[in-house]
Amino acid sequence: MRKILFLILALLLLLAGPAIASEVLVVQSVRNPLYDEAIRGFKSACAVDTRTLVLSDYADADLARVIREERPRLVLAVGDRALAALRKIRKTPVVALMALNIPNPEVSSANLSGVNLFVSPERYLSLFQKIKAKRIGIVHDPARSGWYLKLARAEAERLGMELVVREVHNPRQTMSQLDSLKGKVDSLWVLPDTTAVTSETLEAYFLFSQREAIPVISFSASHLKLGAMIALEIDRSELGKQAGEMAKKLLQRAEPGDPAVVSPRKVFIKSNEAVLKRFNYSAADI
Amino acid sequence: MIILPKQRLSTIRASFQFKIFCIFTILTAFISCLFITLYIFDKISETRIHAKKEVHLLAQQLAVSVRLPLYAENRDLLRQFAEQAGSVPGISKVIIAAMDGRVLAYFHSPANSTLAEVIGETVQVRSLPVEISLGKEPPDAKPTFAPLIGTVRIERGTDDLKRTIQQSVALSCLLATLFWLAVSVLCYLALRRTTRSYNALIRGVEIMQAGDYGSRIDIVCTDEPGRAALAINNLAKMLQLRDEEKLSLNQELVIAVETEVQAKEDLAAANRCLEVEVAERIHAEQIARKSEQTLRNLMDIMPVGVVWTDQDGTVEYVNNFLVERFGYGRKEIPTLQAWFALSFPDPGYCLLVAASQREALARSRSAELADFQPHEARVTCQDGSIRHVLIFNQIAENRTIVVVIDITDRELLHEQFTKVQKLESLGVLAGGIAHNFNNALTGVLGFISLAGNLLDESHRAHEFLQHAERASLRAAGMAKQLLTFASGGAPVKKPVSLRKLVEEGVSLTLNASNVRCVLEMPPSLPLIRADEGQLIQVFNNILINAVQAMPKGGIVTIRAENNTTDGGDPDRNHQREYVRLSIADQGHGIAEGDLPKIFDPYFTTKQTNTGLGLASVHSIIYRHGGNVSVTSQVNKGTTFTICLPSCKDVQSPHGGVGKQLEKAGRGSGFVLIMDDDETVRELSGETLRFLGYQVISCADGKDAVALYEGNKEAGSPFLAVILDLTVPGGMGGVEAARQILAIDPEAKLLVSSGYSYDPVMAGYQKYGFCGAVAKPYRAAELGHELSRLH
Repeated sequence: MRKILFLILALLLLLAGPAIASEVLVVQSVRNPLYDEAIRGFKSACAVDTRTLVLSDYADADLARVIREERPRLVLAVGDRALAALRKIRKTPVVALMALNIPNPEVSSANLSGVNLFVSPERYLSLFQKIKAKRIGIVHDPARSGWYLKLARAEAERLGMELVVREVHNPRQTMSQLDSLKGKVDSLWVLPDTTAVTSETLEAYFLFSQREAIPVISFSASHLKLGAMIALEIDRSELGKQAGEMAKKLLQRAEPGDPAVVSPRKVFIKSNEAVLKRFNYSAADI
Repeated sequence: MIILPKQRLSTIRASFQFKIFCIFTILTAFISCLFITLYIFDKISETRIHAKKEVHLLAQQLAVSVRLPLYAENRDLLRQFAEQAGSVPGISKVIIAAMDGRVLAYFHSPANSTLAEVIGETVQVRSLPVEISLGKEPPDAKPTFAPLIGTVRIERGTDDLKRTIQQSVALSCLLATLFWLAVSVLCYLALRRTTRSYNALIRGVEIMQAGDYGSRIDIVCTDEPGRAALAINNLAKMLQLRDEEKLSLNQELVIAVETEVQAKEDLAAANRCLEVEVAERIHAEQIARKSEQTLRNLMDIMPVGVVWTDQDGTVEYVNNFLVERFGYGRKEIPTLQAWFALSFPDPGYCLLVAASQREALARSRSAELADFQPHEARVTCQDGSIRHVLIFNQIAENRTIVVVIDITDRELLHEQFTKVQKLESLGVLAGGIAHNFNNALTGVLGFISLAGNLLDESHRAHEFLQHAERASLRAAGMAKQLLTFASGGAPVKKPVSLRKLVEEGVSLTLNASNVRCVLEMPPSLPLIRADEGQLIQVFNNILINAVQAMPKGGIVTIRAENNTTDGGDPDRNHQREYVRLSIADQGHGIAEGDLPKIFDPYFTTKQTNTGLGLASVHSIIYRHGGNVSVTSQVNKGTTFTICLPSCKDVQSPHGGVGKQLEKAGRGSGFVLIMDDDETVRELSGETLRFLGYQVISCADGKDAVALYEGNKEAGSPFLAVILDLTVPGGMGGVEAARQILAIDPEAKLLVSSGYSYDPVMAGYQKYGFCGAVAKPYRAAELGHELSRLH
């Protein structure tokens, strides 16, 4: 009987070993191939022991206890849910990845860093320029993407384009704000704003685009299937690498860098040929 | 009462409840079927429309859903949408095509792809969202002209629709059937409940119809039948009361009817009696009329004269007799006084008769009983003859009835009757004398016969004995005539010679007259079976008439011949041999009008005759089985023709004296002779002894019975017994024969009598005798009878 108890205890310790021994706790919102791609990129850049905790597997995961018990050196928050769950973690550095709600670089917390999903406005605006869009409609939540829009306005002004901006503070306002853009814009820029762009309101952008016959440039290739003409698809693997480099630095007790939150380094420009054709564009024009 | 299933079924079929039930269920069934049919059609239409709408909606929904993917030509998503749309049950095809017709997504469901009819809808996908219209668009709806992105076509098979419809149809039919059944059951229950009161009403009415007004209908509820039942109950109550009243009235009526019937029966009986009485009266009237007529006819044929007159003496009726008898016609005697004047020409006598009549009428008026005391008168007929009459006068119903009886003939008859009585007395006297004379002659003839047998024929006394015998026979013949005249009874027949009888009759009648007789009778004339005396009497009567018809003399011709005919008598229509004898005279003849009456008794044209002679001739000939007829011509003569049956027995009559006993035949044995006359006993005894018999005689029948019985017991019975018929003061032959036959039924008995016409002699067999010998009998006759017995 004693031997059995000793074996069970040893097994538990053994199983807990890796948990105790991992340096990076990967907190994943859901099991998602996109997240896995980013995590692979992360791991390729930061080859440390990681333990993955998928929040969707638990009804209510007490991350603070887990972190307190496992004492990882770094937590990688993959997805907005994981990021939100780690918002109270102050001591352990958190690197956000694949989250739309990563705070803007202007407002960031001490232990939070990461790579946001906001591609630099210049890249978008150059595309708008190519399609000869002058008035670009944008619906955003200033609290989430106001900083980005500031940058976009400056760039748009430089390029001689007008950004017709509509602000929303909750997703229910998106439809009406979109309708307000009727006849006022000749293109539509979909920002990765979790307030302005939700799963419920996403199609509204494309429906508006379809109804008004104006192209949409979005931030996700999946939107191409919805009618977006052009999408700047972030390279998630590269995104993960960026986050891995950042984590590596943090693990090396270095500062994450400034800014702590950076934009994605590598994007893919993808387009919907049917939509391009509908607007009499071709892929070569882009 | 046993109700046959067929009868019960017919009753049920005719019931109100059943009719309503049938009507309701049929209507329900019809309506159900109609509704089911309409529902099915509607269902089909609705299903098709619904399917079409569903397809349209689905297409619209799909159009809306694929607006972005179609816009983006996201084939994967479009395929998903197509598959998703195609996953809808029934969808066979989903085609999402671009604006230019390129099929971007195609879904085909093999399960729903059949050759059956499909429902397809093609919806345009436009950039603007199309409101999914479920119904008509509002009137102010503006058509949208959004840019066409593509088209969505969805095709749907109808197999499932058909199945659905079939299921719906089956379900509908089932539901309809269940509904119908449920409705029928409910209807039945409702009808039962509804008609319960009707049924109660009907039952009650039926009970009342049967005559039971005391029953009451159960009032189930206060609906119309209940009220009707209440009314009928009241009606029944009234009817019951009325029925009771009717019963009582009926009883009274029955009583009255019975009384009436009885009265009618009585009346009918009275009517019948009345009818009978009327019939009787009618019959009586008819009888009365008939009687009156008969009376008139009778009175007309009455052998008395009848006159009735009114009170004044005017003759109202005179019968034929008075007219014919007295010769005065009805017109000659208008009044009774006129008749008196004619009938009584002597004034004084007329007054006397009239006075007698008045006296008689006065007595008749005053007397309580009818006074039929006549008064005699002598009426002078029209031909001058005087008739002695009795006149009866009677008052009847204000009429004077005068009855005139002609007693002239009666007096004549009285005289004749007196003569006849005298003759009868003489006949009885003659019969008695003849009887005694016969007895004496029996002895004389018998002994003469014996003496003749004892003497030789050459002896001189033999001739004298023959003369004596002939004289005795003549005396016997006279005695027979006397007996015949006295008795006139049944003939004692025996074979006789007709010629002999005729000769004897002729000799008796014509010897002392001036009438000569011519006989034409062949010698071969056969014998006849006859009573000699009676036939002699016949011939005497006819010959006497012939002599009286020829007062100046003449010839009487008597012819006889043998004949085989019916004898000329239509009443005796049988073929026999007859001897026809005709006696013809040359007298004054008989008037033609008298010919039919000459054989009538008491008919005579002579004042001095009795009128019995020819009547007895007719009677005697008739009793002999023959007939007699007469033909006559006035002043030419009369012929009597007699037919008598001939006799086949051709035995010659007895021979003379001396040969008779030899012919008689001999015998032996004891013979008993019973006769009160001693001479006869001696003669008979000697005769029989001569013939070889042993004779014992006695004088009385009683002695004869004793002797016979003694001899029989002694073992020497008598061969024969000869019994005298009449034994004055003793037992006669008939009684003796009866007693002897009681002792010995095989006894041979002979009867002898001087009364040859006695019925015993004529029919001796009926009294047990084997033969009869009439006195005076000769020895030969006696011996012949005895020899015949054995």
